[in-house]
Amino acid sequence: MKALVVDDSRAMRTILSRILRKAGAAEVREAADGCEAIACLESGAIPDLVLVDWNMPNMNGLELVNALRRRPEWRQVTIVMVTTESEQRQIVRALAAGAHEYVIKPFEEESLFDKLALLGFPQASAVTGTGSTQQEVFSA
Amino acid sequence: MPVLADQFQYVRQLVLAKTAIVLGEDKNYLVESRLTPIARDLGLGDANAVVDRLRGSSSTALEQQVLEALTTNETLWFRDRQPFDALANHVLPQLVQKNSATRQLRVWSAACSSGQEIYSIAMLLDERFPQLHNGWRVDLFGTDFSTEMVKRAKEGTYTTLEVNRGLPASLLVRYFDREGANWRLKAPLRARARFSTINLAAPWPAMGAFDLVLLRNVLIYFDLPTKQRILRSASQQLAPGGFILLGGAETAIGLCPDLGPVKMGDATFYSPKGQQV
Amino acid sequence: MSMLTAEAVTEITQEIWAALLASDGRSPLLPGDLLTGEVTAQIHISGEWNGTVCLHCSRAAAGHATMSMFGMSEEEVTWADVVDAVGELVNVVGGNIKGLVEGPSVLSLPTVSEGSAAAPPGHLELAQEVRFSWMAEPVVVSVWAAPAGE
Repeated sequence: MKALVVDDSRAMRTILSRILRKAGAAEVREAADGCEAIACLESGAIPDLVLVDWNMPNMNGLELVNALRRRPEWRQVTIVMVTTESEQRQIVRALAAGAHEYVIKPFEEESLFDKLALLGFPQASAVTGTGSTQQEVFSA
Repeated sequence: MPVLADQFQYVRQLVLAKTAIVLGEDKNYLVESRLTPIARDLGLGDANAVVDRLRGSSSTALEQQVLEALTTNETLWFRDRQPFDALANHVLPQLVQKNSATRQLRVWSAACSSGQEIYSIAMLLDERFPQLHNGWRVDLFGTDFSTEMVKRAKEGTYTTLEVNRGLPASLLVRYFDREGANWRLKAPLRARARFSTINLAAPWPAMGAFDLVLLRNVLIYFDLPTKQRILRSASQQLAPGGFILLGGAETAIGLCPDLGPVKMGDATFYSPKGQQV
Repeated sequence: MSMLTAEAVTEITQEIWAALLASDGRSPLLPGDLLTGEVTAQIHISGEWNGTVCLHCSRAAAGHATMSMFGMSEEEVTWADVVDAVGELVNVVGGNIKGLVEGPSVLSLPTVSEGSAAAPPGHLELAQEVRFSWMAEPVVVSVWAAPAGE
């Protein structure tokens, strides 16, 4: 799986990249806003998965989602918004614009694994779902 | 500060005696982190002070509070894809078919924690089996050892971290309302499930027969004789044609001779051997 | 009835710490009453509700947070990294607090500064303050609001 992380916070990009690598991503690129993300795709590197923050300068996440869905050659890219925007209205807007899934910050890394599994990314299913947290806690 | 060694052993013994759950030798830090909030609530210094108080008093309330704090774990929505896909595509259609004359469906989530599992079933039924709203009696029953968890399940309120776990965003917006920093299941969905406290390791009350028993990721905590006893009791709790579902990494094979595995979709369910087709 | 309660602020901050600072349960954010520290991050909320969310902590706590978020060792941490890490923390805290107050409203970019607690613009009033202790270091979250009727 090839991924692109779009967030204006370097710390958040670092965290998300780390999680994606754990989830089995072979390649993770980063962009600091929507414009950089578009430039990345236009250079030919079409990812399988894009994680998109909402509030970013230059081009925000919702605008990026719209831009991604407008281009037929980018239609197969899976889009997950990862943001503090938590109003229902906002989530509905994001899903309506074409985001496939939505993660509200703060999130645990397992949440990303869960969402990736829901979206059918196979490596992520291998990481999650075996009750790892519970088995860490209790051992009979 | 870490819990003292003999306090820790005391707690381990207590948990084993009262709940049949085995707390690993290396889980001192867990005892500390789970008991520190109780220390705070009671105005005691730290986790050690809580254990002191527990040993010194015969308060069942404090004992219950400590036991619950130690035996509660995270739970997720739609935990593991395959079983829920199997439920949606194979098991539930079969159960609905089987019960088309009685128009009744009974599901028991036997370690329901804060309710995510049984509410996931409720959402699944709502989405995929809307016909059950017409004249069917659907009983979704969640039980847990912890009275605190049962209370939370009835409330149906979850934190951001909790709704991020396994819940599709489309279901979040459809079935929840935001309440301050939290998310609450809408009333019609909450009304679909009922909850009660049951200690699986103790004798069970009369509950009637279930078409589906969810016994997921809870057996791992018990010692072997208890595991066997619980599985046998669960198999006796099934209506004809009913199924038991265990957790992703669990098996009943070798534990319960009454039960045999049945492949439904990509998931394995269990049903009484005599009944398998 | 305001949703901007001390309980809500506490819960929000504890969740954020648990989720983003990889504490694996061993270093929880606990209630505390230590003196406020030397790093201050602020973020502004403007729109239907106007105010500022501040995160103060000690240099050590800021360092721990930075190491955790970036996966760095102590030697690798620079002030720029601290600004980024603590800025993101106040961004997430602010974003969640924005969910408690009247909307619609927008979040500013965060600012992070060193030195004793920089108070927000003088006309704002303290609406909530919650003090925590994390790894025995002080962490304080405060929410400042425009006075009622403004």
